[in-house]
Amino acid sequence: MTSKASHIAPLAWQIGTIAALLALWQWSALTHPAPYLPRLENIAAGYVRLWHGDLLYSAIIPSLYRLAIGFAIAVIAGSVIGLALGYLRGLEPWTRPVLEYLRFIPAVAILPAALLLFGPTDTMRIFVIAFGSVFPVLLAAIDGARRVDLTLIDVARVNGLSVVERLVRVILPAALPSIFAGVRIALSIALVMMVISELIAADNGLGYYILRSQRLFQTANVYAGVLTIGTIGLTLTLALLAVENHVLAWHRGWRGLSNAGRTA
Amino acid sequence: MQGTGTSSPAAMGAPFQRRRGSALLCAPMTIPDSMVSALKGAAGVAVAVAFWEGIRALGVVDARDLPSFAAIIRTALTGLLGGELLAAVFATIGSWAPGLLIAAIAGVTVGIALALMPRLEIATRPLLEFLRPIPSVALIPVALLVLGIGLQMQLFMIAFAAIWPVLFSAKAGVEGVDPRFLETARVFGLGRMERIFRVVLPSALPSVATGMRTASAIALVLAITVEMLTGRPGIGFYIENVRLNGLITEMWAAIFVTGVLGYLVNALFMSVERFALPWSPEHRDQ
Repeated sequence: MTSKASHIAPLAWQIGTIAALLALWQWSALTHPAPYLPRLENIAAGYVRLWHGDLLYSAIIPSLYRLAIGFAIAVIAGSVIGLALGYLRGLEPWTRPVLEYLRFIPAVAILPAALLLFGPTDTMRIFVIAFGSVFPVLLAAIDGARRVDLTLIDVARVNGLSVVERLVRVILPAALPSIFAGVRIALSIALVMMVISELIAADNGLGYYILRSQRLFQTANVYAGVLTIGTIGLTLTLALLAVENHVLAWHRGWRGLSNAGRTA
Repeated sequence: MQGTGTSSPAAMGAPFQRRRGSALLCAPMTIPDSMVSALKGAAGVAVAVAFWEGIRALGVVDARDLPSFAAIIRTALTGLLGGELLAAVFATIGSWAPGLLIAAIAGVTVGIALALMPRLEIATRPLLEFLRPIPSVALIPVALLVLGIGLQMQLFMIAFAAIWPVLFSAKAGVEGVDPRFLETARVFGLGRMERIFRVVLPSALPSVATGMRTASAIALVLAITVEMLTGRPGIGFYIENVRLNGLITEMWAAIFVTGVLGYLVNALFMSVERFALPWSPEHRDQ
């Protein structure tokens, strides 16, 4: 009885907070009309318009296309290079200063250079997304590969696995939990870089849509665009967590087992 | 995970070098490990520079777009020694620091409040979970609408973007306070505010410091982005401006300096973590 009540009460609080905020917004929009306070129904209409028809193809799809390619490049390149660097420990002192420098360059600063080299093209935007999001994956992969249980590597060596086989069958699975942690950070950076690249140099995509709407004082569309980007970010994060749960199911099971063994 | 201190990875690489070193050098005079890795690092940098020059020489891209590494360094130095570049760097720091400070104060306050008042946390959770995944840069057009172009808008964007890591690390830090400390404080008769200031805050500080380091990098990105987009003075505007004027070497030099700035900012907050918070669990074991 109490448990049911305690489940409902928080939900009521949460719905209440959101409803109160929305009501406050709508009330201020109606009583104090200002360009930056569009009415809720206009924002909702703008949001729906973004997901149907022309805007879907001129705003959402181009953004998602560039995000997907840039992010995929970052994840694949970051994991492969990271695993190799982490496994070949001798390389570490050689590469460290360069990596330590590159990873702390604020990725936006690269954008004008990319614009110069590639022009205002999709290649430029994909490059910027990939450059911004590769480092969390790379560093996580290095870290994960370096922490692999040395016994596992020795067992693999004794069983005659080649270097590539060892990397794919021993190092990669062992480093996956760490890599996924890096990929999650990389996703949020990739989204930021996607938006920045479209704010600064693009003629389509969500960032461009928001900036253009702002310049045209179509404020409801600005908010609708921001909401759309938030929706995409949330959906991708949840999807990534689902993939992670699926792929790392063995890991959690294995850890749970070893914990149980320890306590027993 | 990313907190690679300067000492630990070198220590990890040490056994490998020693094995190699004794075989190759026959070691009548022993070269210290730190010097060996410094030399290797310098070699790595040399390879990276050679790679850069190689791209230039191959002519994959227009050589005018990729100035030589020496020219970039030279331009960076002249720009820093009394040129516009130094002024731009200071302008960026001048908006980055106050923005980060606002984020730190607001983030710590809200984070502690959320951790100490579960009802508030429950009621505001959907709001926070909704705001957090929105990439902060997407709000720049909104901030332009509401606040217009100016320092106020730049500070708001920096603070808004940088508040999240501080807020959530402060919350996690407070939630992770050892209950025995709180009970001890209660036994000694400390009041609620005293408990917060003398027990909760010090135990949460290491976590907050880590959040601050993340926030400092995000704040720098936002400061530069806003400068690029709205022409506020600073390194972001400088980079865009010299690019538009065709001063390619100046652009690369400014990007190089931005990287150094990012590195220094991180190093600064790493040392804050290490020296100001000696009771952090990460350092307790050492």
